[in-house]
Amino acid sequence: MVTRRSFLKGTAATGVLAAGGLAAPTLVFAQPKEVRWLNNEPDPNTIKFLNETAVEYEKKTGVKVLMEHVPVAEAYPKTIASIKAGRAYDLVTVGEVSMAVLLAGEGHCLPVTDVVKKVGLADFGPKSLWYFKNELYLYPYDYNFCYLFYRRDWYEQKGLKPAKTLNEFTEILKTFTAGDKRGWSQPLSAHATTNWAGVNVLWAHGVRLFGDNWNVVLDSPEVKPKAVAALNYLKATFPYMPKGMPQAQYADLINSFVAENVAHTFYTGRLIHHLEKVNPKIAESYGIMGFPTSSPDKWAVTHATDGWVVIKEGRSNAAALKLLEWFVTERLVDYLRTVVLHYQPVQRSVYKNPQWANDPLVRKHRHAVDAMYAFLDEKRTAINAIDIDGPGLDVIQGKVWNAFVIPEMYQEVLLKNVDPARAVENAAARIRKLQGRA
Amino acid sequence: MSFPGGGLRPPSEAGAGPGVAIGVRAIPGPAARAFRLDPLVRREWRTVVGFLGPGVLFFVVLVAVPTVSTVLLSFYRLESLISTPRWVGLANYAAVLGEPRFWNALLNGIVYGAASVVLQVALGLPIALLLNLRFRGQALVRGTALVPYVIPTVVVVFIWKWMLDENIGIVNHALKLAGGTPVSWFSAPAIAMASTVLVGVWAWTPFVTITFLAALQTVNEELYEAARVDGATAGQRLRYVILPAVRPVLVIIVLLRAIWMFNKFDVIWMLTQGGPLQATEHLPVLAYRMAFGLYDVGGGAAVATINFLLLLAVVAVYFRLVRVDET
Repeated sequence: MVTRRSFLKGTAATGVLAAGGLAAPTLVFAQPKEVRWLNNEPDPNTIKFLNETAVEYEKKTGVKVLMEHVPVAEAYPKTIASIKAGRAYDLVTVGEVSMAVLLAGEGHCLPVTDVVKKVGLADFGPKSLWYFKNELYLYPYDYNFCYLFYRRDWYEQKGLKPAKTLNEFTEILKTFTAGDKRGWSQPLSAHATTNWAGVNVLWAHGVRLFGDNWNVVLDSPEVKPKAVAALNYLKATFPYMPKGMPQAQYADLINSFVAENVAHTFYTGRLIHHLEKVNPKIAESYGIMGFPTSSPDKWAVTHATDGWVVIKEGRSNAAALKLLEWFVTERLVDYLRTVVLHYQPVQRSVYKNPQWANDPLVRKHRHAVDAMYAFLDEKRTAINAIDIDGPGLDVIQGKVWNAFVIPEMYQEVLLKNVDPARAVENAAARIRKLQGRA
Repeated sequence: MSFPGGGLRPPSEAGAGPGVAIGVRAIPGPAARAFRLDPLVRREWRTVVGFLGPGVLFFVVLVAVPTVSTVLLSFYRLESLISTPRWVGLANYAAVLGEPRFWNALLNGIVYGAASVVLQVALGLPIALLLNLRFRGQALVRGTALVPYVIPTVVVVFIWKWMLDENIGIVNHALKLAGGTPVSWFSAPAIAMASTVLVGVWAWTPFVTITFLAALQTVNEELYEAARVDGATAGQRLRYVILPAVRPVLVIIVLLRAIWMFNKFDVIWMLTQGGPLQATEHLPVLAYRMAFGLYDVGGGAAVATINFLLLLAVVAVYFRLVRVDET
């Protein structure tokens, strides 16, 4: 029986439902889109800037940017986990080209070629744009060149000049090794530190891992003697390194220099920021240089381009690409300035940007910035890295990196006293094995 | 099987006496074969489910499902968790078992586990005996003895990494002051394993100590007195009174510590990441490296499964050899 009360209740309920139903499409349409951005740059300045930029972008466009910050090593596992869990990030900051290749190889990345083209291909410096299957999947923003820092004041005291050849460098290392002081921090650990900061010695000797057809050339008649020479160089200079290098990590390279234990160490401009904070005295008296090679007019640096990728499984592909485009055209310089000497720009236009060029730290450390810029001259600089060596990009480079083939080749010679030629053969065999499983 | 009257238990058990909390009762009449839980039992079941449910749920979600997933993954070849898996049957196992690195990791695990357990027990028992004595400040000393165990593992690792740092560590500094040679605690393959064992022993001996101490406190004082009156020496009291009393605890301690140390990942990973030259790499580290470093998720899962089966076998053999109810 329909009572007055039940009739009124029913009518009210129907009205609410109808109103809700009619309003629903509008609500959905009006709901701001979200872009989830996984950032792996740990510097507090960078994190603060990204959070503020996210708020600014939402005010400007109505698109909410959800920032999430993780340490660099966690970015890849977390990206994979998010894809697997069906809630992928839209935009991810990655620390190696190989990560972009791994994701693109499995079809999880969207090309950013159009964004790069809009900015201008010519603006990008050497070895910063990496094509994979004719598309660019990584928008690069800094080189992460690994080069040598040296104590300019110690050099001056001894009347020395930066070495131009490996032999000269050995002599300088010997000069600075006395008591608790050592010539250089050269990482030898089975760790990413060595993959990045410990391989200049290979490029300096002309070592290559892969040939034109992805054949392993490390133990070829042409390359093997060079690899053996590089290992012998490490063996000869091992006494000039502090103890603990077979376990060294990034912080050890920084600490040994900041604590004035070594005359040379490898790093990026991040070390200058540390010096400014912790030991300003050395911030006034350091120099940077590429790693000497056998040729006096060439030096070597290792690169590890950082960049952004757009994840295909993200729910806001178009919005993510739009955000990336806006960010790299409107906010890139401000972003790079958050750790200005560490983020060495890959875009030449940034070096000329007045804001960037007049940054107090850039002005103060002009000599270092000029040296960094000089690394872009490929005639003068041998630029290579484990994750880019070879005729292009492939998953195998990431595998060689993660399997610590090169650090373990070093360790065999330095810790187990294996003959360098044998160690090179072992390393080449390991790479082939990794290739076989690729 | 059923019993006369239709119950699943003998009549003497199935609701035959007062106070039977959990059971089934035969319903007479046409539904003689149907069983219903009586209200009391239903209430008990709610309690049982209430208490056990969360635990079972956590076990299923956090242990059973990942374990089964890992075993299943070990039959596939895939480079990452987002790759398309390809069925390879036992190929991952064949590949893993053919790798010298696997056998090296197994040996390292045995060495690490055995050395850690032996040292923890060898140190933990005497310390427990000392702490069982009555002396002034006993409570303070007992509390202090537990400190290493309550410090978070990450902190323990950093403390020891700094103390054993080869350049600026206090241990090498002391060695130099004493005229000795600094030691490469984590860089030399021959020493790195000993260093990782040392850190583990420092951190977990207090657990062994406190467990033994609890067991010692359950021993009747009269037994000690009787032994003393009978003229037993300290060694004889240890052998004939104390050790038999703590044997059940010893059995469990050895088992638990062996499993925990064999599977210990965090300390080794943070101290050495299995290096140098795989000198400290055991099966859990190898499984992780293969799955997340070498893009061989199937191989890593195979290593983890073998590790699991090995531990199961060890536990079975151990309980066969040392029966807990006989201790």
